[in-house]
Amino acid sequence: MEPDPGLIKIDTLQGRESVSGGDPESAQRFASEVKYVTYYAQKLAETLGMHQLQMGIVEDREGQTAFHSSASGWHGVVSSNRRSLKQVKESLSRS
Amino acid sequence: MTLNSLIAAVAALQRLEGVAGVMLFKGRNTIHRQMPFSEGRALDLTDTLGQMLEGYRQVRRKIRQVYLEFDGGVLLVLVLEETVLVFLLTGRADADLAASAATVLLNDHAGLLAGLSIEPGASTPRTEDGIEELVVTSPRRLQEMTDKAEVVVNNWGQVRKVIEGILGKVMGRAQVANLIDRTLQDNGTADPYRLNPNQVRKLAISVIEHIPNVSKRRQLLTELDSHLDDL
Repeated sequence: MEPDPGLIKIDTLQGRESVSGGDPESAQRFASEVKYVTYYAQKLAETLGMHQLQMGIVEDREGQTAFHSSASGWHGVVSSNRRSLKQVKESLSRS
Repeated sequence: MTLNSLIAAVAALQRLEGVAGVMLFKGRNTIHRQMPFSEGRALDLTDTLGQMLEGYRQVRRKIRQVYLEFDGGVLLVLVLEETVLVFLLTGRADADLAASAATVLLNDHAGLLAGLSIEPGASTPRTEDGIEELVVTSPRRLQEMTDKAEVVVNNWGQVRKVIEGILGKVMGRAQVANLIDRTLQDNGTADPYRLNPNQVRKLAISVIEHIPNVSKRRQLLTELDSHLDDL
């Protein structure tokens, strides 16, 4: 199967972060969401005795933002469709 | 619906496969907590999630669900207005099933939840003389409550996937979906998630029994039996 169209990437190279893919609005939303969620996920991981976030899926009335960690940063999508967690995870694993 | 029935229903969610912990809170008011760690840690978890969701509220985003997969487990958060239901899941859990069961529960109790305070300790059940009951905090009482509670959900989601996998060998995906829906309708089953395990098994068999070819049907039923025993 093909990876999701509209895949957005946040890559960090030598401390510099770059966002690529998706339309400008989605890319901005994706970057903000990842930053916000990973900030709290770090606190939650400490509370839960875990180490790091591997995947996040945030759903509101307007859709889903999904991302997973990669070797260089975070990859994911912003979607206006509501898909099951299983479908989103499968889609992310192909990206 | 009462607070005790709500607590029993939340506690029943813990019976779902792969659920390591469940917690329900509204603001600083913890309505139910059954987590595999200390109270202090659970309060930290409530605080952090509360701050995170408050941030979303401030920018007027109505968050429904947050799924966070860590290296050691999954935190699944369902939100209805100010009420938050949190699952701690292991890799064996069906997160979609947990999410849909929790959504049903939150919607079924929406009226009651809306009336609850956000102040700490406000939903600890008290007797008429004002003395705190051990209804929630006593594991034995909690067990009695959950035993009496109606089973809210079962493993129909997994069983359906098994049926789809088996029938997918002899017919198309859409046909399988139609056949399952038709069987549910014929059996008068409005909500398969509320059936007991025997009824789920019977339902699965009745779907496969629609296969006209006798030998193929027997083969598929054997396969179904084997899968159901593994669930």
